[in-house]
Amino acid sequence: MLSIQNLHAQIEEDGKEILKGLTLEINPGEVHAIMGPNGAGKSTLGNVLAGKDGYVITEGSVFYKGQDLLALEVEERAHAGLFLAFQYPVEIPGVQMLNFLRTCTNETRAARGLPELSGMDFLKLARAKAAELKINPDMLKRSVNSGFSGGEKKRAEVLQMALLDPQFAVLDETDSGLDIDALRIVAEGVNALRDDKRSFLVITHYQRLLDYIKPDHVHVLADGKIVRSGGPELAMELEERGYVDYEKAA
Amino acid sequence: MSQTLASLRQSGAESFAALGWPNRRVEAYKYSDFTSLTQADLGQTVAQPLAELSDQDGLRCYKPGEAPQALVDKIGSLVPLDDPLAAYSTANLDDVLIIEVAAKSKLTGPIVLDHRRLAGQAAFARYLVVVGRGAEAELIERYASNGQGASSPVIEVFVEEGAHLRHLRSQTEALDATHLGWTAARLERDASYSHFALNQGAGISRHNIRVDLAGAGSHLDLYGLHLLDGQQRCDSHTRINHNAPNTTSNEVYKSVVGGSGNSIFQGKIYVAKDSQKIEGNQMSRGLLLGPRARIHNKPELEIYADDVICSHGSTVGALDEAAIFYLRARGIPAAIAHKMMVEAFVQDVLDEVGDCAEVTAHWQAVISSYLTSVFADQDGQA
Ligand SMILES: Nc1ncnc2c1ncn2[C@@H]1O[C@H](COP(=O)(O)OP(=O)(O)OP(=O)(O)O)[C@@H](O)[C@H]1O
Ligand SMILES: [Mg+2]
Repeated sequence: MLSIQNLHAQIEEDGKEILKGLTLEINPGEVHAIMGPNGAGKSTLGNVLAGKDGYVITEGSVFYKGQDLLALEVEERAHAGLFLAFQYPVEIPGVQMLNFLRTCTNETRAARGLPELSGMDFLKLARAKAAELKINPDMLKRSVNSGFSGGEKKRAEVLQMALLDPQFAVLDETDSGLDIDALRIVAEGVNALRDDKRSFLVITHYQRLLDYIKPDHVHVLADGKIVRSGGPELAMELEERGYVDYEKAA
Repeated sequence: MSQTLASLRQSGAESFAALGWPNRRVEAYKYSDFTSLTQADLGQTVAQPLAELSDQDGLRCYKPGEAPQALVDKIGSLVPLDDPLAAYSTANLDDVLIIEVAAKSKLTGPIVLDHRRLAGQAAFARYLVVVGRGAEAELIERYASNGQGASSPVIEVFVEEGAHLRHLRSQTEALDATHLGWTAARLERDASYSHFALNQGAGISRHNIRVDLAGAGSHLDLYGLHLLDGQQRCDSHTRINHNAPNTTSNEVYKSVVGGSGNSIFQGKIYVAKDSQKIEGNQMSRGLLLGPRARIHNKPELEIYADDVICSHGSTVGALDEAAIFYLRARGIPAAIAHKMMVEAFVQDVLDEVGDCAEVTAHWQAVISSYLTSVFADQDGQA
């Protein structure tokens, strides 16, 4: 599904290297969790995979379903089934949520050779998915993420994921800012999409999320590299001991 | 031509002879010089028919010769002849249409003043609109053309006590045309006036707006859009005079500029001595679509009273890259993402345009065709 080899990425502006030889292999149907200290480069990895400007890849490669992911435009990556749930979803005043969701759903469907959904069909679909995520339908009339609470923003990210039907999703701290009930709802939303073809990369600081979304593999990302990998028990260990061991190593 | 018009014309000519075309040394024309206008830019003077209005209950139109003297006396009373463009238009006026909305009436349809100037012509439309006490009306004023030459219309608007007027003006002239427009309004006690100005056309344009809040309790809403591309230069100059107590004004101007376009907004809020309990809010925001686009926003406050709440804000920026990345990451192609962002930028002005389906459709069509061409040009350059 996704094969990252020795990835080095720096900030374009100042040349500071953030990813320093990151290697990660994710197979279809697998859920991988990445944990690691603040500033380690977790969001940078998500941004680089999604194609955000402002980074220079100096070494390494990323292959997604056999294609060179880094050669694709941002929207082409989304059409190919990559989804990034943002750590900090962007507020876009003036763009109505419903209009945004319909545009992204239909553009993605068109790129995948699927017929466009009519306004009515789309509205039904969006309302149904929103209801599953306990999103108040009035939020669909508001501007994208504008004035949404932290938890509402995260739920809106999961709503977008459900509508876009991705093959590989990166969830960047989608659990941060969620109360216990919301966490369960969001986790159910993710689990509903789990199958033997779809893969997830879950970035989190809290073992708690992994009680709901059971990972196949857990990795520690510190100072731009995967410094340790293991099973779910690694998350428990990190919860107890923190990252002291890795910060010293870094 | 009536005696009144002949003498008004004469005053305009004398004033224009003294002032000439303004250059940048004239404060009100700081960012736009008009001295380089050529005869081709101005066109040949041809008598232009004024808009024809169909009869409606509560609406009356007069030629100056037939109108009551009280109405005739209002012609030229709001537009200051010490402004060179007002003087130029007045010096060339040919005819005036007087439009009166009877007191207390509520018009069923809008008053439509449609203008289509032909290439090579110079047009000097001139209107006097009086909305009688307690009346309600909507006025649509549109300027289009198919080539060079200039339109220099002047409209004077009186909103009498307790009356309400919505005035929607659109300027979509040919890109090699010149547009020199004047809108002057006077609001009596408890009157309200909303003016919307859509500026998308003409190579060189200037729209002067002057509103006198002359009666206590009167309210003004002033909204403007500049949608520019290529070499266009568009200059809006607004002056709001709070000449009476308890008057309020709310002004929002937004500019979107692509290519080497140049958008200019100068907006003054003036509060006279003894005009207490005033609220005046002004916001001008600019969106630059490329490295050669320019925006000059100059808000000014001139306040001589003390119980006053006035604010002005001005911002100029580029499209929000983080938002565009977000949209693209959701599968929306870059070109569509750009359009969505510009539409979002102008959305609040469009929301205010409001109820009239015909007007909303016209504004949307102008915005949409602007977006198609401005981003097509940009892709071409990339
Ligand atoms: N555009 C940028 N300009 C400068 N520095 C940047 C930029 N983007 C990221 N960085 C830096 O790169 C480092 C890694 O940031 P990143 O956001 O990837 O960390 P993270 O692991 O996601 O941290 P957190 O757990 O706090 O979310 C940080 O030191 C950050 O300040
Ligand atoms: Mg992060």
